[in-house]
Amino acid sequence: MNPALLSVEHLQVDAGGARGAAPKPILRGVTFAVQPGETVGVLGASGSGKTSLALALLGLLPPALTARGRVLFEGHELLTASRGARRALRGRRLSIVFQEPLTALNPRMRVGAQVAEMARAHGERDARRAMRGAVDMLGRVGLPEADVRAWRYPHELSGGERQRVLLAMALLLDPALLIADEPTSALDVTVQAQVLELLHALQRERGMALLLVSHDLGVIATSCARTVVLHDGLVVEDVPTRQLLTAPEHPQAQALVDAVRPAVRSA
Amino acid sequence: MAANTWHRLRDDRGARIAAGVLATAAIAATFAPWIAPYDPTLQPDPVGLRLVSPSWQHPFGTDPFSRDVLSRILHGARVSLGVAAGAMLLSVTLGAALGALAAVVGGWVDGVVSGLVDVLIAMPRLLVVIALVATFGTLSPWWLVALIGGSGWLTTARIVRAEFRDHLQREYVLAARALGASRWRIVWHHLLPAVAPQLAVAAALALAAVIPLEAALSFVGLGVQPPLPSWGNILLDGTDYLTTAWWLVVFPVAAVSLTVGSALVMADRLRVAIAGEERDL
Amino acid sequence: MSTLLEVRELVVAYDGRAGQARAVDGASLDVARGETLALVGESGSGKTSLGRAILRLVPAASGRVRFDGDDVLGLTGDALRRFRRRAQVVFQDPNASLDPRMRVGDVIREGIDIHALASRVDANQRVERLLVEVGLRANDAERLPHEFSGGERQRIAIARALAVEPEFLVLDEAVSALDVLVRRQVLDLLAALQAARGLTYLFIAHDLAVVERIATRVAVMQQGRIVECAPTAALFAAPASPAAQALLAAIPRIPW
Repeated sequence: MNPALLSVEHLQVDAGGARGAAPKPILRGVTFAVQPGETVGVLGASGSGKTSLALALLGLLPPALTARGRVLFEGHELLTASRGARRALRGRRLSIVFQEPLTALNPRMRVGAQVAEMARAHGERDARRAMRGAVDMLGRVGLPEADVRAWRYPHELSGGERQRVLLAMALLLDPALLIADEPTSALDVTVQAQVLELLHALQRERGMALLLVSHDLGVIATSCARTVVLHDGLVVEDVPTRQLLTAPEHPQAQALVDAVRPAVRSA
Repeated sequence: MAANTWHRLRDDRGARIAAGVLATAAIAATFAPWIAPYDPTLQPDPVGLRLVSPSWQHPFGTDPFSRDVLSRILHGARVSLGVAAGAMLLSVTLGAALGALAAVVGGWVDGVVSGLVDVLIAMPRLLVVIALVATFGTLSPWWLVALIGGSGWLTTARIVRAEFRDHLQREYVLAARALGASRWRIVWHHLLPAVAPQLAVAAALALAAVIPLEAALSFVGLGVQPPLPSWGNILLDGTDYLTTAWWLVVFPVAAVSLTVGSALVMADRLRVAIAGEERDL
Repeated sequence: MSTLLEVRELVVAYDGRAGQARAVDGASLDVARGETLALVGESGSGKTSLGRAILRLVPAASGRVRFDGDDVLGLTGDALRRFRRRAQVVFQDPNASLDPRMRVGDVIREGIDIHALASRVDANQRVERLLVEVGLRANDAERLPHEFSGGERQRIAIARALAVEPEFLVLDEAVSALDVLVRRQVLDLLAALQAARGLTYLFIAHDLAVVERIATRVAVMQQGRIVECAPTAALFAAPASPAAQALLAAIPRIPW
């Protein structure tokens, strides 16, 4: 059997017990796997722990939160890895795109430079080559007039354009897995459709694995072949998306499916 | 939320100590006539009891006019802290009012207030007050309150104006307008409570600024006039004896330093408590 | 059904001055009493500005707004205050639309106090009834906004709007910032409140999927103008304008 690209085993995340308060469990033993090239959705309502899951996988949890369990990525144990090792993986093999592009980008740096920075952080020494690669990537994520927009600051771009910049940064070094945490929630619905389509296209073109975290089954169902449903810190369903849509078992899963069912209009 | 800030402060050792010092000073100042061992203006024996070093009968010693220094410090606290508190309240209230006016009314009112602030803030306050005092002649403590207080509204006005302008953009103010709230209601019920924590910090800092200001004025003879004691003029009386009668210097300076230091610590601990509250909100 | 709200050629400029770029560029619409008119469009289409101008929260450069026959744009003083009782709003961001320093009970009571609708004691009782009506608990009145989730804060905002007993409610992207499950619950609440109180809604949204459940008619806005207006089923079946078609196409195509 081929080893999974990402294997999460009994992942537990607790919010630290500050000042004598009992530690609050956020993830209570999450287990699932992602195969190379697979598209997996993590579906959960707010409070299910889905954002902590995404952060834990990349070692980006805030200091107040602690993680236990096993997370294996391409054979490397991520939870116990050194900071240096994690930094080396992040961006190159494993990338993440967040919900709020404005806060994820440096407001004082031109967007092209930020994308180029990604390359330089991972060893590209030639500044000009890094910049050229950045502009090229921005073009491939569909940023209109990439050679001009690369010189703009984040606040000069629209929400959809900023999200494309984040995608460019995440995909520049051709990672094997992209984790997208609510990548379209902050966007207008028409832009959302475009970004999801882009994600889908890039995933297919590169054979990249995609882990898409969202509260909206509509977003997941169009991009993910398999869906893991998270509720109250635990996985309650782990099935092909089609199956979830037609026959959800867990009540929470049922509720999430109903939430996106088109309305039956009474005349 | 004010409750939470209060709890934070209560648990904060620095804040407790600073508050303790200030409270002690305030109590000493208020009850000076009852707790001072001697009349501060009494000169019982200008020859025999002159410049006595600290002893059981005179814990802080006597000054060149045989007056008991401890009693003078206590009565001086009344005057120095009284003037300081009055000036602080005046400057903070005036600053808040002008800052609020500039932010809420806007237009030319804002132009005038902001312009004044920008110009006046460049002038060193001590020199301005000295110039004012020199113009108006020697003054009663009430006038000192007015002049010192009246010259200190600038930073508070800036803070309040900035905070008000920020909050005026926020959606909950828009919601209040949608409900039909008048501008006054918005200021009183929404904006002032929002700015109250910063005003508390501004008040503590203002206190820390005016205590030395009054002391300096009195020290150069332009502030509180003898025989009314103030920490500054106690020091003044001792200038010729600085090297021989250390108690004439140490006690007034200690009084000023302790109160100013405590006010600064309070300001800092308030800021920390407020930041903690902001995080929760 | 009679017309409650009538908007004609409304123009809203970006910074209130004439001759500037226009957020709303000559928009016209009608809302019948008791109906839910959805106002949809991409961000930047001007729908929020239109909603706010109708409520006199931003100045209109020109045009006409009639509410129950009265000219809204010309109202001042007491008449304006009376209008504010009849036409209320729920904003999008549950984090920003409640004063973080006020207890929830005081937040909801504010409208009652402003319009002197009840004595102190009666007001508090009204607040408790409103809290229950929106699905919260009476003793939630003592708590602060940050102790509640986003969906709960929107319920508080709805209770605040209802406290002055309005006839007309502008819902300015009121569910857009919420999780899908919570969104459904709040939409159900809004539908129930409409039936119970006979309310008229102007429902501003950028997502047609949300609108499908709750709207009787849909007005589509693009670049400051209304480009299409049709009953919901008709719009979904056969959208005429490119703007409507784009919005429909944007709804995720789930492989049921």
